[in-house]
Amino acid sequence: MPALEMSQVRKVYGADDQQVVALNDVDLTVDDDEMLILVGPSGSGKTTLLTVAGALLRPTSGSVKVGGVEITDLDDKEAARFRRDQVGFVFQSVNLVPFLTARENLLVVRQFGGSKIDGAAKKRADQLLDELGLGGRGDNLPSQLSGGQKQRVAIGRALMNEPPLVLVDEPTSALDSELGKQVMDLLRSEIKGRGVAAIIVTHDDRVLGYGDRQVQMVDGVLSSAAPATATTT
Amino acid sequence: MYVAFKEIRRSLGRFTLLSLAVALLVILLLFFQAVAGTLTSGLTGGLESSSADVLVYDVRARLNPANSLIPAPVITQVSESPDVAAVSPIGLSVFTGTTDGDEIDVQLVGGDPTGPSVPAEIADGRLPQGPGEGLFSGSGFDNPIEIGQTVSVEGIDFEVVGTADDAAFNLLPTLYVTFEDFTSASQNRAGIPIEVAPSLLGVIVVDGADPAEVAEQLTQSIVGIEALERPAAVDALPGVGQITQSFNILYVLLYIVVAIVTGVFFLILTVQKQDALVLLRAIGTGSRDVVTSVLIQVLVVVGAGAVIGTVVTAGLLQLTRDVFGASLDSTTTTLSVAAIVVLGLLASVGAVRRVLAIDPMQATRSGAI
Ligand SMILES: Nc1ncnc2c1ncn2[C@@H]1O[C@H](COP(=O)(O)OP(=O)(O)O)[C@@H](O)[C@H]1O
Ligand SMILES: [Mg+2]
Repeated sequence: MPALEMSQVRKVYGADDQQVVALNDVDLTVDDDEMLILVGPSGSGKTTLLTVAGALLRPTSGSVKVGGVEITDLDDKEAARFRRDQVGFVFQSVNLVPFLTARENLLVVRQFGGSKIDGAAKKRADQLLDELGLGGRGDNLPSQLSGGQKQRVAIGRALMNEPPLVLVDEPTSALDSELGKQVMDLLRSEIKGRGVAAIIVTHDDRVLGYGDRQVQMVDGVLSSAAPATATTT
Repeated sequence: MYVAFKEIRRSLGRFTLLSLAVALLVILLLFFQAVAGTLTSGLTGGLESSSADVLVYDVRARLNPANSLIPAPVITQVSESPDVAAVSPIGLSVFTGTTDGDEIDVQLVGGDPTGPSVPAEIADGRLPQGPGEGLFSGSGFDNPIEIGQTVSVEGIDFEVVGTADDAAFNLLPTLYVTFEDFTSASQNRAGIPIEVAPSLLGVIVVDGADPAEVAEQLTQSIVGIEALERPAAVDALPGVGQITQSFNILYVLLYIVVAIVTGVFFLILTVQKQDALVLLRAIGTGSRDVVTSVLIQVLVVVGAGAVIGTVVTAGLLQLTRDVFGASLDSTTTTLSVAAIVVLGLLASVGAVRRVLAIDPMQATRSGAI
């Protein structure tokens, strides 16, 4: 069963003559162990696609199935639970709670919705931090971490609940090329090592080689499998 | 829970500041209440603690004991009325007395020590049994006079044989004596053997009779008097209403300040951590969990402030016991503290509304990590 199936998904922002068609009848399927790279110029609708796939935003029309379950008709509470259990997000902007340490930023996902932070959760958080090269940084607050370290903590947070679908928005846009490469290597090994599905959104050429497949988006329309070398922003 | 307490720990300084601000307001509130309590009980204690069920006034006194004088025939008329079990004259007058060489104001209460002129309960010692003996009760504002001490009034030496709590009149050191001694003191002061009439009559009703009905019936049947059951007489005392009202205004002001301080604090806090809250919502935290964590913080911070304030006030009152003999009333304190905590929770409605208005979608909007 595919991890994500979007069919005829349309998202229109605004009303009347101010309308912006961010997703124009998009069809997209991501297999359950596939790492998909989504490229496209700024404003083309990439973030909107991630938001719809992760139940943060309801599409104007169309169907979105995650793990075979239709998510466009979830109510707010169900959508929150779905995001907690089924999706790992790495956002382009704010990713960490500033008053929680790196370890606590991973654990916080476990705490809400009636679950408990048990020994297993703590062990998993420490193990993730180790894998991400943050073994000694668990007790640091985000303000004590560099940009690359923060990005890695965010990746750990996204993976903490073992979600079947990981959605990553512009992971390297705030990093220099060396750090960007490190973070992408890590993302790839974490995602492929777990065999989960992922969509990595980028308009950064350096990222292109990392995925199993690559699709391009222009003005809300997906064009499949653009050649890796030909795609730029 | 987790996030709420972690945040408090990481920003201990600002949460402590709010707690201390609340504590300060609680101290003021409880202190005002202690002062108000001492003031009112200094005024009302005498009537409030009286063993009389009904008090009889001269109708022209308009329920002010200081203006009331009861003509002698009324005593007989009252004692012969139905449902009246016992009657005692109550003579009230302020004298200059001396004790231990110091001149003091003394409120003398003359009456029948075995009848309804004395406090229903005594704290220590016994009631006066004859001439030259007195039962003492002070207000919180003056030095207590102890059993065995002598108070001289107009050439009569009164030995204090017992004490009662909260049974003072007019915020003065009050001495309950026999009506005969009260008469002598009044005559000695006048210099001639004037006729001394009681200010009030204390009445005990027979078992099963309703004091309010007996009072009503006495007022109807005897010309020139007005009778009230004791609680009504206490409420009618001059000055009490004004004190209560003035202090109520202060309480309301303090409650408003508590609400504003707490409300604004948590609103600012919520605005400041808006990004973090958006993120938490985006990664799957339910809005209820986020609201709960705000309310938990309010409870912890305001609750801690209230506890600190109460403890400090109790300590302060204990330290100033000799100067100002007031202590916390546990019912009033509990109610005030509960009111402040509830008020804090209500005041955080602004913060809660902001949390509820968060759209988790905002997490996808740009900015740097
Ligand atoms: N909340 C919104 N309201 C109105 N228009 C929006 C909103 N979010 C995005 N858009 C518009 O939708 C289009 C797609 O945006 P987005 O998905 O963020 O693109 P990308 O991530 O590829 O840069 C853009 O034209 C953008 O201005
Ligand atoms: Mg974007």
